[in-house]
Amino acid sequence: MTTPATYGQDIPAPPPPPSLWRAQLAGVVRLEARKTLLGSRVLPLLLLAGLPLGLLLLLAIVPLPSEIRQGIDGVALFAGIYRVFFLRIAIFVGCLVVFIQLFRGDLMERSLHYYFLCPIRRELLMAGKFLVGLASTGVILGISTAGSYVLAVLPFAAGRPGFGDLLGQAVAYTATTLLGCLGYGALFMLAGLYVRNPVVPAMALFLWELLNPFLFSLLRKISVIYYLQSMLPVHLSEGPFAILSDLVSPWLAVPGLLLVAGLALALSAWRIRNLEITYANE
Amino acid sequence: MAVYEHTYRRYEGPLTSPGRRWAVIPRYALRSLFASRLLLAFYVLCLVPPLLGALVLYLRFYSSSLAAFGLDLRSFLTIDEMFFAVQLISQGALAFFLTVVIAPAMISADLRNEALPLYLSRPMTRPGYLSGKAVVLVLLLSGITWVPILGLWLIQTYLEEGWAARFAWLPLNLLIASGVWIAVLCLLGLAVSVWVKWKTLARLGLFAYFFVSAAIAALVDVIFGRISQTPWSDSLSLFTSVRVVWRALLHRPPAGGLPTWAGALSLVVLCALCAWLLDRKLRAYEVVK
Repeated sequence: MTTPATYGQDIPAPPPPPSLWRAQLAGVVRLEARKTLLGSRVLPLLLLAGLPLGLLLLLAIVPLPSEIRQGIDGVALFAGIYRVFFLRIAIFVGCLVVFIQLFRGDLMERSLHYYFLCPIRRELLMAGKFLVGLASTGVILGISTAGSYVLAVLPFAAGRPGFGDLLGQAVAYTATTLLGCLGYGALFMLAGLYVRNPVVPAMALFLWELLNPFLFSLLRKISVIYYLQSMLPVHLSEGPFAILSDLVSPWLAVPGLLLVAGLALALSAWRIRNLEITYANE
Repeated sequence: MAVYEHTYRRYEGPLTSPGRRWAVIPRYALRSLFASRLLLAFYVLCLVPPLLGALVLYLRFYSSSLAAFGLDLRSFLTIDEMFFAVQLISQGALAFFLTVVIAPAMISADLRNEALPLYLSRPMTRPGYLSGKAVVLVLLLSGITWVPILGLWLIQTYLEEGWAARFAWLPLNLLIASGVWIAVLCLLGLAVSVWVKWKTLARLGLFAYFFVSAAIAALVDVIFGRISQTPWSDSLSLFTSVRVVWRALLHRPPAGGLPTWAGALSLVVLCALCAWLLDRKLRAYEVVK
């Protein structure tokens, strides 16, 4: 015959809040990581990240005339690749696809209320989802950046600096990618929480970032790409119509981006605290 | 009538002729689209550039009256293929935005709600269904592209004697240029609508495709540009391919090094790919794993 368990004797008391929060956060991260990394959401991100790697691998192995191969400056080549592809498209679109869907995807699939029914702080839910988005975009695009740098620089001897400089540049490019994921990710998660149709803000932000080189100095500073450009180890011309403007020091760019991301996350946290789900409006 | 007498009976009313059955889809689709005031406002806004163009033509014709105010438009504004190229570009851009707004929702809603078997169980074929959806886009895009632009050509022909003889080739080429863009947008929009069931994501995908294709072309050019003098990678960019074809049709000197045939071939390949994607996905049934 068994005696019924009484609270406080047989059942252990709940852990104190910080460890409970850690456990809950880990649970959200595990669940979201499965949804994000094993689902179709990550496919566009993988395609974007894999494209420069594949093309650079092709360039490295394809038999080229020796005068062409010797004339390739790997550092300048990667600087061009980073500017036209990573900075303008890959980071933006990759973050857009992943972060917009963190909440908007659940709303569309009508599954967000399952999270809200759990005894978990909503801010914790938001933090877990954001961490998964940041980790997935940061790791995939970071590996793509570092791998592309290696594939662009190592096979070509022209203009190659010393090992220390190469490592420094690789770290700087990868850090820029990670900060880009943080900045754009926070903004897109905010858009996904506030706007029912995030296409319009995404289009507007994309066009704003695209036109950044042609804006006046003051307007250029109201963007993410301006601060990311400040962190690049190699600067290229933005074209004949670009307006010359001083780039901000990386010591200011990094805290500036962190501040913007923090502000966006705080607004997201406030929003999710007061969010009421009405699937009929979706 | 007693309830037990409500049994199945064959429909005995008048039947729509098979050739006109596809027209049911655009009729209802247009009605539901224009129920949105926002879309209606945007559509009206799309007609502002041609209206401004018509105003310019009118003011230029009456510039002798304006000369008294020191404003002689004839001296610095020539109405030639360049004027119509500007109109084509502005209307083409607006047509793209209109497609981003309306195309992704056209088929995805039917697929998401599993309504396609209901359509196709009626006497309507897959091509008929697809034609009905495409006609909606063609009508809406025509209304802001070649129709107002040819209207401008007619206005200028009416205003300036002898002008039409010099630019008699222009209407057909403008029609072809608009037609190419409309065909690309229709097929691309419908293909995205079929493959991406979430409307918002489909819109983002369609919008992103335009810029991602240009970025991929630039990436390939950066990496392989030094191997060939001809920028073949530009054919990957939708923007560049369309620009090359339009410039050739409007007798403008080619910009960049991509040959016109390569741009046209790239558009044909894109349209064929979209048609294949539509054919592959648009079925009356779906296997869910």
